[in-house]
Amino acid sequence: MLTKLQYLMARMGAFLRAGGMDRDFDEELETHLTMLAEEYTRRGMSADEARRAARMELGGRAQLREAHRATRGLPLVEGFFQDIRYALRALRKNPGFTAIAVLTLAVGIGVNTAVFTAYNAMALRPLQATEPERVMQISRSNRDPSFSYRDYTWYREHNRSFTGLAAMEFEVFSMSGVSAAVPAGGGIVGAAGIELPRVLPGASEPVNAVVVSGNYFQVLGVEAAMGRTFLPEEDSPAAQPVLLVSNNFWKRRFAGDPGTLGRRLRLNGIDVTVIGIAPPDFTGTWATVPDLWVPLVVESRLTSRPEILHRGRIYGRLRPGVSKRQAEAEMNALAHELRTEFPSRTQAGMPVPLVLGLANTGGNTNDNNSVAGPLLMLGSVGLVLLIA
Amino acid sequence: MAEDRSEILQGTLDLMVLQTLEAMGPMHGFGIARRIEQVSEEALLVNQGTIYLCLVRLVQKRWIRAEWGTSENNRRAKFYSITNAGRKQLAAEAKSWERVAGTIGRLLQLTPRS
Repeated sequence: MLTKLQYLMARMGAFLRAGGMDRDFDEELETHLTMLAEEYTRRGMSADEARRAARMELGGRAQLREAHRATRGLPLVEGFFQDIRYALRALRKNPGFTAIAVLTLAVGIGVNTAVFTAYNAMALRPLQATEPERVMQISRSNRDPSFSYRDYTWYREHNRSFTGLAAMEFEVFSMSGVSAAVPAGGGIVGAAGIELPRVLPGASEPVNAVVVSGNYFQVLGVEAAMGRTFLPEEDSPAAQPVLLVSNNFWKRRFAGDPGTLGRRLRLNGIDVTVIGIAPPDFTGTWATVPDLWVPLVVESRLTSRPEILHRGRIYGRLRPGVSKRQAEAEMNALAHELRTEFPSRTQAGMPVPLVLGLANTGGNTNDNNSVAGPLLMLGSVGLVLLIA
Repeated sequence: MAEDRSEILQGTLDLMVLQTLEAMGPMHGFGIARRIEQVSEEALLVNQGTIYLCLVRLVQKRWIRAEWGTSENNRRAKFYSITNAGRKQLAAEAKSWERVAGTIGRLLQLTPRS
């Protein structure tokens, strides 16, 4: 056993100092040739003849060196390196092919990274909420997650499975009256003494908002980083219009100024008071982090549309001891009552059952339906890599 | 080359090299090749290159060791000498060779039944 190990070590050593061993062997062969030639000369050959005869006797030198290397070294490892050298030579000879291969690989790796990053942020990352595994999104089995305000209030008033049901919707408002964003980052621009064109006072800019029911932050169990989140009362028509800004927007647009709290922003021409700043890691339940959150009632005031919540999404926190399946059963029973209570003219055909899924920012990885889309995308970009 | 020269049996070259070094003391590759040919009265076909493959294998097995030295003609040459491990190996291989040779010899002495 020990000798076998020593033998392997010796071969490994030989592999590592192959160059020296080659020179050594060449010198040894040279000595041999000279000695052989001398012997032939003694037998009466001319120097040239003797040399030639000696060479023939010894055999092809390159061949011999190859055999010598194979005997003393690690042929498998050497073969592997030879393959790599061959591949590199081939690549050098076909620059077009090389360029295409490298490009395909680069694009493949890049797209894969991008898609996975997006997928990770959207679906794999859990919701930033307390006990996110208890927060469920209610949607329909045909993957339609939108509900009307009437649906939402019906479920909110009648369910016993959830500690609270919250609703949200995405909306874009026009913000005005916020003058001159403090140059973001300052750094280079400030140092160079140049000032970027600023938003003029009175000019308006679009802001992304998520419109939420008054209990939205309570249901998710999220506290404001500064100030406070909405009170349920603030979602009533009599309440003063208030809003919460995202940490990102606060830093980007207000340069993290603590004075932002209590400030009035003009949204769609109506003054709304900033009552809180969301924590930095809170991305919300929408695919992108909004600039601000406003209560549902503020939306109706801002848009002057009679109906609030057009394509609302509903989230609920399961009551302790209530399983997802129990809640799902109750919700479907409520949906049935809702249909008999308000026979809808528009909803003809078979009613679509409600399903619950873990709430997160994008798809739901526990639900095969919604996982199919992202998986298909991941799979297809994976194929690009495979082809490359 | 003479037709009646035999190829060396696989593995027997090791034995020949070890025995040569044991009997003659340190030698260079050329000397070993010559010596084996002389002893076999040129009946064995020793490819002189093959000797070196055998030598490197034996060195790696630590049965022989190699040192650069000066030949009788003042030429730089690599000299091989047998080690203690090599002597043990030689004894073992010689014994096994004798056994095989004895068996084959006895087999060849069997006379056909008439």
